[in-house]
Amino acid sequence: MKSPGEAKRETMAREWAVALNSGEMDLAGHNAFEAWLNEDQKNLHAFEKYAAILQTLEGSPELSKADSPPAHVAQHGWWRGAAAAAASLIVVACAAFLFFGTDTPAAKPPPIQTAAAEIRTLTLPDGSVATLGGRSRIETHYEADARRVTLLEGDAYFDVVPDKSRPFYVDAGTRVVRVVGTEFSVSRDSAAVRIAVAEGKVEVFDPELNDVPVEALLPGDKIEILSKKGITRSTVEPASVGRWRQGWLSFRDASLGEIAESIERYSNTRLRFASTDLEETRVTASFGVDDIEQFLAALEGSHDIAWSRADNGDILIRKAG
Amino acid sequence: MSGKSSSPLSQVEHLFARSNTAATFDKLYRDYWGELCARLYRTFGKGPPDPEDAAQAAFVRFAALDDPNRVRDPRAFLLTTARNFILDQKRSQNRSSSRFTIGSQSPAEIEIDDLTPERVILGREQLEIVEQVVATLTQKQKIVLNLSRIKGYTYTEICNETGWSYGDVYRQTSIALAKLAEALDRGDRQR
Repeated sequence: MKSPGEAKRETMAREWAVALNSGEMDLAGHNAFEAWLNEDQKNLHAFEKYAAILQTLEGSPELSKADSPPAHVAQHGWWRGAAAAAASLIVVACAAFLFFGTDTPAAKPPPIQTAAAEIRTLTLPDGSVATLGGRSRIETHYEADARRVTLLEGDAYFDVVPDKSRPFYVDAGTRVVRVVGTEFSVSRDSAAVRIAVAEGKVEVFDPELNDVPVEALLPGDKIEILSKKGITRSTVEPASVGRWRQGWLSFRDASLGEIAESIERYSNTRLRFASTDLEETRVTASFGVDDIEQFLAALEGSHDIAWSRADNGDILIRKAG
Repeated sequence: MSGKSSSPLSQVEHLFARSNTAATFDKLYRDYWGELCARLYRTFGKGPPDPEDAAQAAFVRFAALDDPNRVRDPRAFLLTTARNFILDQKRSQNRSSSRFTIGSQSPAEIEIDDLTPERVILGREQLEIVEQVVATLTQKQKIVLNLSRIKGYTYTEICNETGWSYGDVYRQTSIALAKLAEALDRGDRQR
């Protein structure tokens, strides 16, 4: 019988073996793995068993016979979404420890961040996939009983591998999100935290209220938590959640200041305002990051606003006339 | 994997120039260098030690043998030697030891064996346990392991090939490895 500590170490060793075997672990993952190995000599001891298993399988006569995958099925068939949705409806019944400090911290890898206009997809140690938007930053902190990600800045879309024994948490500062397995988008900027769900169920917590979910979101649900104005709820087309991954930005009743912040993150284009009240102008808009000028032209048509481009490429926005 | 200032081939080919095995080595290098590095990378990560350093050490050891032609399975020799190099390096980093390795086995001992990788990596009893457990895995688990370990597919490529979801491929791998590890642990306790 293994002690809880040994069982946890065993689980981590297996997680790393599965992640390495994916052939898709990124540099941050490799660094985290090395940090974990070096943390305690027992970690290497636990991992060696899995390394030996992986290498042994390469020469397994029994395994070599299993070389007939089923006929190809389109990956995006309806059943896939249905199965994922069904799996992700399994919601943990009891509240787990929500907060990120634990008694036995695992190796903490360095933050993963993207540059302006960069969109990067990465596989997390459990196989969940995170897509980061422009100028976004996350930290991961995986433990035997919980998978934790902190969104420090920007946009992140998560496709979470279901694992009801290890809930997946996203800490976005003023709110913590808990899921078992689902797809959702979280954004964090200076004004708000936004959460939208594409598949499955997402529970949202207020860290100050401990383990009582304040919101439960289903596909198409979106909430925006403004630091000053509280929570607003809206609905979106589930398929449109996370469309920034394809370079598409959508805003509903957002300030031009917020939109400018997003444009800067996705296009390296800076918007400058002639007066602060212009930044507060509320707009509903949807446009591709490659087509900012079209958005600005539409803005000129609908609002008393004019724009021009400075020598350094910045866009200057002023009142028309 | 970091780039090297000169190719591994150029660093060890002089060892072969004095022998009549240069052609054998050259073919082995061309056939297996890339695959060896990839396999090490997918088992032990980027290092340190760098998988290329481990592969290079293995080729150097192979080249330094009195008669490399005596090695019946050069690929197994290289894999085992590279693997031991990595584990020796990692152990020296944190002073660990393990029952699952053969770091003390010398190339001279390896060369005369009729090697297969698994026979060297695990003991005979452990190897039998692995084969027994593999036989009990679900067909999906076998296919996932076959494609990832034997054919070298990434999980994304397995998804594309089979239509299974990424999470499913990941989970099936984890379940299968857990079964194998538990069986090895039980086997160890019963000895």
